[in-house]
Amino acid sequence: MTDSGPILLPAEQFQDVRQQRRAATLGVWTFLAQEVLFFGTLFVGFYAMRFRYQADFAEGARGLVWWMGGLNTAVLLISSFAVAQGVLAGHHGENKWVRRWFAIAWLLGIGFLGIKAAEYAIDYQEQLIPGLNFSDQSPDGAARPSHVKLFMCFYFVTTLLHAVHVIVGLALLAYVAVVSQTARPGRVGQNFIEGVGLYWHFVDLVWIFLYPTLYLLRH
Amino acid sequence: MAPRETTTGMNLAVLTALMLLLAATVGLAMVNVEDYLPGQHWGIATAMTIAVIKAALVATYFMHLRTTETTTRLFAAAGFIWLGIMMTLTLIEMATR
Repeated sequence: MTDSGPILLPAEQFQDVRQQRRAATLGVWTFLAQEVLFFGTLFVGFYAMRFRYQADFAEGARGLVWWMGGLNTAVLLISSFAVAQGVLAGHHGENKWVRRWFAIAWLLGIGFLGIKAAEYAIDYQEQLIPGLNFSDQSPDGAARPSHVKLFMCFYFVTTLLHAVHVIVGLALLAYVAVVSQTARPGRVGQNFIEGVGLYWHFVDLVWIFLYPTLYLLRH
Repeated sequence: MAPRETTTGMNLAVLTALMLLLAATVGLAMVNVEDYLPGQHWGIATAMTIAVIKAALVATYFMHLRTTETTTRLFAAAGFIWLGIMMTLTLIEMATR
């Protein structure tokens, strides 16, 4: 990694700044690998059940609003770009731009949650929420296949879990946007910014897989 | 060629590619690829292939795996490799009952 930017001192336990950077990166990726395990089992469960009940799950997918999910994907992709630009600005020591890019990403993240909330409102209206108001009849009177409920269980568990990760990410992005000072490698130095960036990209990665899995397997 | 640090141009190019791939995924899903290709499960295959490409772009460029050292890359890959094994074995078991 290049060492452009202000001269830094490593934290006490590290030999030099490069080693500290490597340790931080390795640590965050280890955490992200654990997150892959965390979400991965949900995906495996979904695909196993989809394999078993393909027609019902396709019906469930058709009950979701594909363009709202697609819009959310675009929103997260752009927010990932913003975070990538923010991290790049941090490399160059441009604190002002770190704040701006991370603020933009934060706003886009809020937009994601807003669209998600709108989707949940639609699901509520169409009586698709298991445990709350799930109805065996769709709004137009047709009977719902028996395993649409299972599909919706997966939908809510995975998207709610993802939304929790988005909310945590928003807190981290806000922290960087408000507090970042790349000249100090301590609390909010470049390593922290990079770590937050990696986390947010990961949140985007999960959605990149979640969107086609839930919304686009409609046949 | 030694990998250089990511630039704004690269990030923009990756974003453009990601948006195009998103459009492709949605388009293919609406068309129902299985009508045009023999065999089963083409829908999932195409959707997941495009998703993997998008994920690779995000990981390589946005997440700087291009310039990360090998040990860390191995750690990053480990989670996905494990998931691949779990997914494969589970689906094989179900498919061969």
